[in-house]
Amino acid sequence: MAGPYDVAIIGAGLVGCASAYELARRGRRVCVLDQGEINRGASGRNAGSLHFQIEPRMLERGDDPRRLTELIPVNLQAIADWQRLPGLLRAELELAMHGGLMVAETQAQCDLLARKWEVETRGGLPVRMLEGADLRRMAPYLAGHVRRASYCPVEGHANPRFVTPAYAAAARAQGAEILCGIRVRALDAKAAGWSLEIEASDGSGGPAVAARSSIDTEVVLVAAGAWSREILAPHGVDLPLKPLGLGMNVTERSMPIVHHLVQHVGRRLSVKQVEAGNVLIGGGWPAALEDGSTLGTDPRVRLLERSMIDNAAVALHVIPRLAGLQLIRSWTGIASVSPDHLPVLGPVAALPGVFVAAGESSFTLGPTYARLVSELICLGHASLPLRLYRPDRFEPP
Amino acid sequence: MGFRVNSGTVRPEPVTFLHDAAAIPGYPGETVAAALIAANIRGFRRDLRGRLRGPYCNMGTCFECVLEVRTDSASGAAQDDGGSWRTVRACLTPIRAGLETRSPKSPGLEDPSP
Amino acid sequence: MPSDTCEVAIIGGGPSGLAAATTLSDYGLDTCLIDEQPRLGGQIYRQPPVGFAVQSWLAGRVYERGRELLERAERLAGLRHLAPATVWGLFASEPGCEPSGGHHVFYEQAGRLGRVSARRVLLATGCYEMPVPFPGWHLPGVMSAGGMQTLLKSQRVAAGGHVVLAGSHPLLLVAAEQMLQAGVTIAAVVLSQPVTTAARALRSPAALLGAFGQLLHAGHCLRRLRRARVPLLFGRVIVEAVGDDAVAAVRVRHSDFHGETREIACDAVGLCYGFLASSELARQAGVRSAWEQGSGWVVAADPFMRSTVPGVSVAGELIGVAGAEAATLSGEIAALGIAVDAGRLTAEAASARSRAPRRRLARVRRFAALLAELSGPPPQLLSRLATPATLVCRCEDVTIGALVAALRAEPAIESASAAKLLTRVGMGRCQGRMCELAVRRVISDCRGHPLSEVESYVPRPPVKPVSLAALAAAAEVPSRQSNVDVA
Repeated sequence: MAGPYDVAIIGAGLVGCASAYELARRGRRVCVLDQGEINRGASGRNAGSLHFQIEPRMLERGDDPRRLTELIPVNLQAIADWQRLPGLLRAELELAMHGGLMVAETQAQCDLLARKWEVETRGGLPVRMLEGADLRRMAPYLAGHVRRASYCPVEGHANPRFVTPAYAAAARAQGAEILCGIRVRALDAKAAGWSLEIEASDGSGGPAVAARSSIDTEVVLVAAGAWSREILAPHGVDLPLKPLGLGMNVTERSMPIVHHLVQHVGRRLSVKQVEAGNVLIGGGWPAALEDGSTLGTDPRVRLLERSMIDNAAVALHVIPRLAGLQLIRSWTGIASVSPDHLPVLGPVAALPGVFVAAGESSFTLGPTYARLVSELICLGHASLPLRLYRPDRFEPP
Repeated sequence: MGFRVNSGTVRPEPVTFLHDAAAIPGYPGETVAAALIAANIRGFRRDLRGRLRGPYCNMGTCFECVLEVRTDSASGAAQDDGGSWRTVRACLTPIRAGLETRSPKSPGLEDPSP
Repeated sequence: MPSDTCEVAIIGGGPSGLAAATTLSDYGLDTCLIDEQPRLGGQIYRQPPVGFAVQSWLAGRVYERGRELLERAERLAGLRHLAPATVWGLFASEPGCEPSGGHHVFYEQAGRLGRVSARRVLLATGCYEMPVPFPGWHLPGVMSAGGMQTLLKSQRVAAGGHVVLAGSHPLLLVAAEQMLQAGVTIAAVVLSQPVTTAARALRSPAALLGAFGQLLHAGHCLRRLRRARVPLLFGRVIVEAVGDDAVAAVRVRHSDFHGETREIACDAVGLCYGFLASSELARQAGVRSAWEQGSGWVVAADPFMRSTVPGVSVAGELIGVAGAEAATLSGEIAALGIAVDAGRLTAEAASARSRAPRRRLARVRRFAALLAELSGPPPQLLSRLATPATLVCRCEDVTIGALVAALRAEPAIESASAAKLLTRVGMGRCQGRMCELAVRRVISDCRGHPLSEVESYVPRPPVKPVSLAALAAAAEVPSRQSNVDVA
């Protein structure tokens, strides 16, 4: 391993590998460090949804709708980024952007949908409302009691097992180094930059012990998802990110039933059918993350039978035709959530030269987060305003 | 071809059931797999490339013998042709008078008919 | 959702589950037994359907103890028998909830979800034939020999009229003889071990002393097969099954792949190269297990068959494939351990009562190990049988060649679960039961790691497919609930 580097990235998930690509493409000397294999965290375990509509939770919090409109430019950029991605990375990502529907049944849910649509339309997001015959025609598989849906024609999904590896390969092709099986023990401030104390992690399956015990770099980017907080905590930085265990369910392959990404404005639901025919059913249902002061290399997350049952119930309530299918596989992942459901992107004020990019929607918006944080690192500013994502936004001024 | 062994065997009164709309003879309690094999039907479904597959383990482990049975109740509804069908393993499903089974549609094929 | 509570839940109605159930009844423990088959007996004692009468079923001295065990179990008045029911998950009960320190067993029966809650669970889930991929093994008519045997024994249906049996396990001889009696033409019995090895097994002290009944029985069968002039090919393997919509012939070659290939016409093939413990449910529950050649993923157990998960005991093939007699003995011992834990028996009394079965179990397991040595095919042979075009994952149609290509392209793949993510092996309905070993063997060969160190697919619920409709129907929150549900 040769150093020093311009940027050392901690975390070889989607955001880490995509950032490595963006930075290397701009001529920076980059290395990525991960305690395990690439794509092993939430990046590789999420449902692969590309949901550009605003999350209903954000509206329920009573946030100023104008503030939410500020989020739209990032989503618009993400749409463009995804559309370009297979060509850019020259890789098969199983990308499908055939449209997404967020459904509503009750009056209260329809009202919420309408408020969401207003925010989105004001921001220029391509969304239109469907009901009645139009809705039936677009989505005949939806149950009759679904009254209304907001339709975004470019929502969809990609295969999370392919995206990060594709970014990693592209990053390597641009000269970035990706080093697996390395845990960062500490960050030491140097005169011009940082020195990362490293060690081999246990049971990582990656390369053996590092030739050196430290890596020198000018800039550090923490893109370690749920692990980001514990990486920075010893340095007095308390990122507003909490790990959350989530469960995901998959059915056997089936004939085409669901043609869109389907979500629900008032229930936890996310349904999509992948090219192979399996139907993925999720929506933020909890799984039990085992308690521990640190997450460790391989945190144990248990599926909850209650979540499996209730998730299936909501799915069948909305798409009755799924009833003939069998669930054959479930898995868990750890997402990182913040109080306002927005990620943390940007410089860590207390540690000059350290940046962070982690948190919610890191699959849908991951390529865009990577692009923006890379611009920030290389140019000093990003092409879209990032003030809503500041890592210190919860601290008293 | 498969056949029923009669020596030393006493069976109850025979019945017929429908498989892919064809009448198949059998005995109550026999598994669908056994009755189909005895009727010289050895492939119960088509795989992703359209090849026929038949039972392998005969104990519910391999899932090669999956087919669909028509259900009486509303649960397990896959409403496409007005009937409700449930996926089962033929080697674990007993036949009875009036049972209807069918080969599952294979998602890998362009022409989905079994 | 039907919800039962009992003191002990036994999963599996084969010899180990039956022995445990009969022993537990001696101590008045409220027991529930859940099994996937409609009747008690598991695979080795698989009964004909109710309403059938089969004269020769389990006839003969070698099955006498088994018949007695089955009869005793069926007469147990207090035993709740939930069948046919497929268990898909084992969940520990939440802290503070009933049964305290216990478990919930979730199953599906006739399209409906059900749950059994118990303080103690005994996993007696048995084993299945070790799948060995070779060209054409996916053709209809190619089956496990055990499956062919149960089809005949319990359903009274012969899988074919001209059958080839092949592999390495003495079960082949027993199955062949039973089929012969039933009027099936045995086109050939093809054993991978040389005749000298087979003879050694059958003339071993174990066989002579009658201590290992099954070996002796196989010896009898061999003699009858010889008398009937059934072609017995030693030191041979099936290298290919051929046919269009079903198997029409097999190609047989010497086990070291020298010499000519001989074609034998047949309409059904029964295979047995050994067995794998069905420990998926146990491993999903979090028990410690280890890979053992000849048995698969074996569950670690203490002297009273307790696993590393409190409240979960194991018995039978889960602690090592060793046959019905061993299963019966370990089931009894496991039940004694449970009785002690439930306060119905003192530790001293349990030690005393378990002394004899323990001694016998140790002896039977030694003979089983000997048998495994003589009847297990060399691993190199198994690796050689598959060609690049051979299906390794039958459910998802992935060939050996596709798997090897993925391994070459991605040096980081070292486990079955990593291979699964990239190639879809293990992503079908059988949830990896048919392909995991072959996939791990390929990884082991490609990477040069010992097979025992290649990790499995991650065992998670559902350990058997479960219907979405059954899951949904079990939801307590009515699906028509209309409040806005905040995450």
